Amino acid sequence: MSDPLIDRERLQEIADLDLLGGDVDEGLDAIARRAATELGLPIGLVSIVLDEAQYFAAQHGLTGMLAETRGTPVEWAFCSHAVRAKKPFVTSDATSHPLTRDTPLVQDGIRCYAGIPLVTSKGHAIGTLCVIGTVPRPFPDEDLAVLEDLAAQVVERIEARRRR
Amino acid sequence: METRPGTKLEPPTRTSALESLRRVLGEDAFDVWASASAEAGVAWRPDLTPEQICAVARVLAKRPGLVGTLGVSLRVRCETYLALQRGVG
Repeated sequence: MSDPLIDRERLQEIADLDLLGGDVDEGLDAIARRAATELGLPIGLVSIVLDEAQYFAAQHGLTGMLAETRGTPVEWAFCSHAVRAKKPFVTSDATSHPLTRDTPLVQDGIRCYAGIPLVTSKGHAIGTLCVIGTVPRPFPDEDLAVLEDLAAQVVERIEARRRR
Repeated sequence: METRPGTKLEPPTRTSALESLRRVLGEDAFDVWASASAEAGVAWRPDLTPEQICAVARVLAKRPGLVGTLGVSLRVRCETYLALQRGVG
């Protein structure tokens, strides 16, 4: 089965939505901030998962290299797991999860993560709304419900770009 | 191929960049790379430095449509590598 991250139609939809220009939508930054605030975590992101990297279309709380590059190589990206599976990806302790424990982001201090895939009306998972913390913590169903609701708002704003 | 200790990020090369373009664009990848290389002032040769790869990726990232999307992807990888080289944490 081919890797959905390199699916041409998915990448073409990301291009058509014009999400990578660096001046996307202040409303998306506000949603990323709200996600982090609601869950009491330092970082919230709208991450667009490309073929070789993830790109942060909106962010709250990033510093250092990640703020400078506005993304990471895709093999570092926890968000890629949510996009490939089209399902939420959650780890309460990234040091013990087999998909995350060996990544450089864990070496840099990331400990917990919850990401909800952003699935468009065309059926493509183009990225995630995610929150990140530096200490382990569980994500109860109530937290994921908040993120699901905010992720739906992100998709609504992104879809509106198609209608402009 | 060299990997930076602790980062597991291989340095960008023309071969790896072309391969990632070719996976999506097919044989058009070569023309796309050649055009962006010329605009970036980078020669068509195999032994490009990461800085030269990054310069081409930045040109690609400004292109419209699918090529621009693939360019952003390459640009993020290259800039991450260069930031690590500079010791930006």
